[in-house]
Amino acid sequence: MDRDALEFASQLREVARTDQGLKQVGARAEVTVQKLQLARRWTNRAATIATIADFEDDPDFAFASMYQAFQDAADALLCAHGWRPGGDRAHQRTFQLAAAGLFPVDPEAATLLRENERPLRQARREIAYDRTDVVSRRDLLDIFGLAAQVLPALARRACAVIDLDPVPAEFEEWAVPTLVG
Amino acid sequence: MASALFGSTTFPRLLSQLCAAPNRVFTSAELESVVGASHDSLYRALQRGVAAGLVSRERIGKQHVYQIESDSPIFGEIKTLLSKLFGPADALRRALTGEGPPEVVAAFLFGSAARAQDNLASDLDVFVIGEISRFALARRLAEAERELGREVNAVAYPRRDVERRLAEGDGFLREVFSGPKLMLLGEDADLPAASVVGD
Repeated sequence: MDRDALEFASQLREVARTDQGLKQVGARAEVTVQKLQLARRWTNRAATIATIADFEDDPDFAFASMYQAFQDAADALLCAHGWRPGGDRAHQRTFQLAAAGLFPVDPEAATLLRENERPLRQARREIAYDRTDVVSRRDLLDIFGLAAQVLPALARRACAVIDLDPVPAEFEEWAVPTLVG
Repeated sequence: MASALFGSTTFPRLLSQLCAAPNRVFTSAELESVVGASHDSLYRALQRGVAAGLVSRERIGKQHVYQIESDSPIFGEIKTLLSKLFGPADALRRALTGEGPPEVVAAFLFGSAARAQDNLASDLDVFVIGEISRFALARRLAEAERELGREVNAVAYPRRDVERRLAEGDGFLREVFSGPKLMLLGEDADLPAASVVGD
């Protein structure tokens, strides 16, 4: 584990003192990898759904799938450190903490995650609980663009934290499918 | 609340606009546009402002121009009060200024803030008609959100989508478009009507 990861591990312990929802689960390399594989699979599902003519009028479906990829990738980074947010605001905490853990090595991707986590969650909440036709095609294009920058960065960081050497090509060279307007 | 305090909505809106640009002079036509009031209503509000010593009037050429009287002994207090009353709309409007069509064609507040039933802890619901994505919109509004200390929930849809969904009877859009709206950009009259639905 590098110095940035050790520093972040220390920060997570501090946060856990006041955040009862942040649970220590023990660093588990194999679970981290599984979560990253899940994230990768969700991005592929999202890309497939987004390009199927039958779902052309339902961008919510692809959006929700891509949201799940964000959730799993962010979860993987925290899992690599041995922590998992739960309870109220679990998704929010997962994204915010993952962004904090990513920041020292990839500030650009971390900032993108931090700045966009709320509209991500808000749209997903509306899709899951409130109504249909929540997101536009424009939103879908944006979430794919965001995913292309953030998800591989989270994957590379999670692999580094669990000292995975060599990093599997599926994560080292992860190219999130591109969606065109 | 503003109406109850000031006896009209135009007067405090006028003062709010003038306070937001204390070094600038406005023609009455400019004020009509930014305040969103009729000529008569604005004229009465300007008369009240001048009588109260809060607005200065000067003749330049053939027209009168108006400016906030920042030397008034109550200017500071009035500005603070207006900021509290009109802060959200003003801050959001400023945040969106600079985005024009096709990204932002029109924008308005809906929900509790538009019904004037919000408090300082209420979320602010913003609806934008345009090609902007909700991510780009959230970034645009982030500064206003920090300034206001209130959560801003913003959604954006292209006009064609809004019209189609209204025509299809979309429940959310019908509720938004038939309810009170506080315009941030654009004119209320230019919005798609909720009644395009098969009523």
